Amino acid sequence: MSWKIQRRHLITGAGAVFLLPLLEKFFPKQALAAGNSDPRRFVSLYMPNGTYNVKGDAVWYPQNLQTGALSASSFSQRSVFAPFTGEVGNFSILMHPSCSARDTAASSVPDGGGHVSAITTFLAQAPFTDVNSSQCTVPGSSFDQMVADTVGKPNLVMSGGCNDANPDGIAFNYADYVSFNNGQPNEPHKNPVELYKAMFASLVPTPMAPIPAAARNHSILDSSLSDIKDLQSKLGKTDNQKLDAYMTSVRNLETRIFTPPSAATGCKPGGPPPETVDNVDLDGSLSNVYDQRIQAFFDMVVLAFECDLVRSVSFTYDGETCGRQNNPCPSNLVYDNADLTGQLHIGISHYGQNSNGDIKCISRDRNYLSLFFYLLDALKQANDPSGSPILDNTVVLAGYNVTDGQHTGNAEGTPLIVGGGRNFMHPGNCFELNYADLKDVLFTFSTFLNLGWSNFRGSSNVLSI
Amino acid sequence: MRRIYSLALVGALTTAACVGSIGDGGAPSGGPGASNDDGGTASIDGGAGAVTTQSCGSSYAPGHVAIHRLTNDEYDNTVDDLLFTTATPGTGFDPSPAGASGFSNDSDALIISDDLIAAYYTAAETLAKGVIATKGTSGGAYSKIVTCAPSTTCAQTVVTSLATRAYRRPAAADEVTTLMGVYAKDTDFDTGIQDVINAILVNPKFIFVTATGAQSQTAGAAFAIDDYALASRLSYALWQTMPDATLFQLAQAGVLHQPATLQAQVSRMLKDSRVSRMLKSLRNDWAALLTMADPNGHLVGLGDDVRAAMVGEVDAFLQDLVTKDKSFLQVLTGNYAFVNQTMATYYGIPFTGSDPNAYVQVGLPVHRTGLVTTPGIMTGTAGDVAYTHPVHRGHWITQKITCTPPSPPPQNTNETFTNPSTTGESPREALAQHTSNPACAGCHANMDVLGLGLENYDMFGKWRTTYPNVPGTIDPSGTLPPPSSKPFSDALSMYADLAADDDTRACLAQQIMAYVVTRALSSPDDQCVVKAIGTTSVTPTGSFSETVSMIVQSRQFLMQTGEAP
Repeated sequence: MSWKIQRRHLITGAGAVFLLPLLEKFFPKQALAAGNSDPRRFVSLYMPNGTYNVKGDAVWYPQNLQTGALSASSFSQRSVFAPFTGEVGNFSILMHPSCSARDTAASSVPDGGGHVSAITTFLAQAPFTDVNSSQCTVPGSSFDQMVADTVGKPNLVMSGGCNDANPDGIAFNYADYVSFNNGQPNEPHKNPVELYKAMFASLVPTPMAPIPAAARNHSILDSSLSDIKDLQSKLGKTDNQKLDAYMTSVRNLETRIFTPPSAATGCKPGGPPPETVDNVDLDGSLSNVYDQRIQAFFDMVVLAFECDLVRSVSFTYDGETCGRQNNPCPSNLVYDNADLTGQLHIGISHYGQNSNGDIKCISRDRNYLSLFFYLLDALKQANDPSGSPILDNTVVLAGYNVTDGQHTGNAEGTPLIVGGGRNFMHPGNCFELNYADLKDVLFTFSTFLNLGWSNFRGSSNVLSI
Repeated sequence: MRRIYSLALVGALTTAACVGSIGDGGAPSGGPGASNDDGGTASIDGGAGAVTTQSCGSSYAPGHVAIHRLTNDEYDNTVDDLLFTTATPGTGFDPSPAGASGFSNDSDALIISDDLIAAYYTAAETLAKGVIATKGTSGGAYSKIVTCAPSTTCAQTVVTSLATRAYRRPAAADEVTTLMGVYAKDTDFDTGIQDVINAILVNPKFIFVTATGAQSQTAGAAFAIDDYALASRLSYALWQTMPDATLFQLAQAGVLHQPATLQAQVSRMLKDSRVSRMLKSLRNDWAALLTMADPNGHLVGLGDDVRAAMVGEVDAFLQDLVTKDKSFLQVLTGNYAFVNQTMATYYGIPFTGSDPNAYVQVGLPVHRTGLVTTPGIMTGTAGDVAYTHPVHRGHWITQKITCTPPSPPPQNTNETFTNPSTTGESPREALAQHTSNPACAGCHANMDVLGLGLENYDMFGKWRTTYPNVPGTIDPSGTLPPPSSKPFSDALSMYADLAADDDTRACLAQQIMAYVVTRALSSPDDQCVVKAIGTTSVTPTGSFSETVSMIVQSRQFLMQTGEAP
């Protein structure tokens, strides 16, 4: 593995730039798990609503901005990670990222207080071309879509659902503009049950009437299969294709008859998510089942990976200005007795304008992080064909990309964390990016995923993370 | 031994001298080594005066019929005949949509799925158990299948007989051995027979109707199918079931392929009540009444009794056409109708029958012609229950009457057609953009004019002269698409013009033939044959049996084109 860093980072971040080659030494290649044929995946979780990470109180970064291995002592009680110290081995913190595409976009047109430029460039890494029309477009496809295109599988795009008809005066609901396919936004799934039906209904075996004779007397199946071959020896190509289909179906039936029900297979769709989330929460009025909704989505991510239906996922927690009520926040995540009752999503995010806004924002961010770790834990429990936890073959990127004053005012830096990937990354550390561009991070991921790209949005910088 | 098949499509069927001239050499035709015309043991030759030979040459390509997975109806009928039951497990199988031929028995469209295979196994289990369950009952299936005292020798006899009937030709020794292997896995006679029945019912040689020959795997080679395969083609075409004893015997004797024998069998089979299965397919797939005929269905605004009566009228018309051996052209030109009490009331004519549920022939109700203007077909093709969509009806005509279907519409085509009563704009005015827009005109110029010609029939086939809330009277006039380009004033004159057109007659023959040969007829040779049959038998003086006989004596039916393995 090599690493590169852009010249301007050498200039602007000279104090920390030497850390990267040092990390290379800390993590020699042989320390990583040997390569296997397991599929590798990418997940993006975007928090569009604002986080709290101000200078001197950077609760998303370790105490004293300490790089290197994370431990429970890396975090103060005020840290957003304080309730999750048991997870420190599963994720890394990427401190001080930059995003030139965002900055270019934000400087060119009004962009909803920085939100449009932030969200649309998070994975696209290219300035949008038009924000004044009824939507915005970006050149080409976003990272997640490119991953999907490269591996030849669909791109799974989802959202918590809550949005606003006209956020910040922008004519389109930009919360849905994280993932793009050939310039056009990918419409996210917002109803977990509908998504389940779309993805897995065909995989759920139809209840089959018992056929004990075929189970008892295997020669019934054998005679059928042998006669297929007899017919195929007398027929032409297209007819034989039909017989191939017949043989495949008989073989599949044979598997269903003779495979013990207890035999473990990775792809086992159970039932759909509960009816309580068989809906779309466009206005936040269903906040009481918000966590349940997101967990249902994440359960499907795990299942989709187990079934190898998709290898790239994009998820957006919510729209920025939606009416999400945050009072269902679990009590163990509430910091300093913050009262979230009646607190709207946007009210908390604009913590500078809100009484005790900081502790509310920390509590709300912990709620989001609890869902991030829910996904990580679920991916850890599921295995790939080699026996490796799926988490170890998966990059789970989570973050927020707005730099404006009200949300991360006087910000230490935007929060960016990455989970999983133990087979090719080094989870459990804090890395100083020293303002390396987000496109460098994403290109680095592409190398982890063995996508064979020469660059991503012009970046061929591989970071040691 | 050289044998000559005659495909004298008209002469052989209409002149005794021509039939008598057909030489068959007296050779049995069944089994491997069947005749072929490409260097095999026999040749195909058109007889004197054969229209097809004159029109299409003596060696026109027969085309390839894919191995034919039994339709669900064919499955039910076959297991009933094979196992002497009245079970209908196929009604629970996934339905098959119509294929490119326009019919749901299209061999290319009859695919296999995991669910279907699982359903076959489940049905086989139930059916096999059902046979054994009749043991000891007088006249039960068991007594008809097991005709000897239980023993291994008896089992061999039962297995051979069952496999022969199920595979629709003599079971080969190795096939019997395989099935005896199934039998031998069990410890008692009845369980062994039950498992054999089970194995046969899921065997591809039962589920697929095949026509193999020495040249099956020779790309482009035309070869005659053997008499057993011919018996199956004939039986599934006209009865949707396995061949009966008569067809088996004729195949075994090697005479079924002889034109006179085929002619006789067609005549016999068309008189049998089982031909109603074929007519049901014509009703559902050609007349577009599949949805309307669903006994569990409903149409908003139309009573279920009227809907059923509309379907019954179409059934009665087709049954009469076959029973009285009328020309299929009558669907356009027939000057009669069939009504029960409900339909008589619907038409506003007196009902003269004694049984209000029975259909009786009456003179043609006003503003009607043949079958194509019946309320059933007008409802089935209207496209909506609130108002008519002329494009839908026009599309149906291009598919089923003129065989000039347009290409599928481009993606993102706006197919919205608003109720004229809400816009105040007549459908003719609304559709004018189709013919004025060059991107649409290519297809809609043909479809729209035909559909607009039927606008005097409302969405349930009632006669009308105005639209609600639209000024003026309905103008059904138009000009038939080229090459006819004849002007017409209304639906009756439109259909009269179409009925006089040879291309229409060829199309009607094509509809019957596509169903009988279970594939779309698209090659130039196919088109030549349907033209010859249509212009000969789908005429005012032709007959349905003549059309069917010509079809089954065509190379498309008697032969098969091989394909590379």
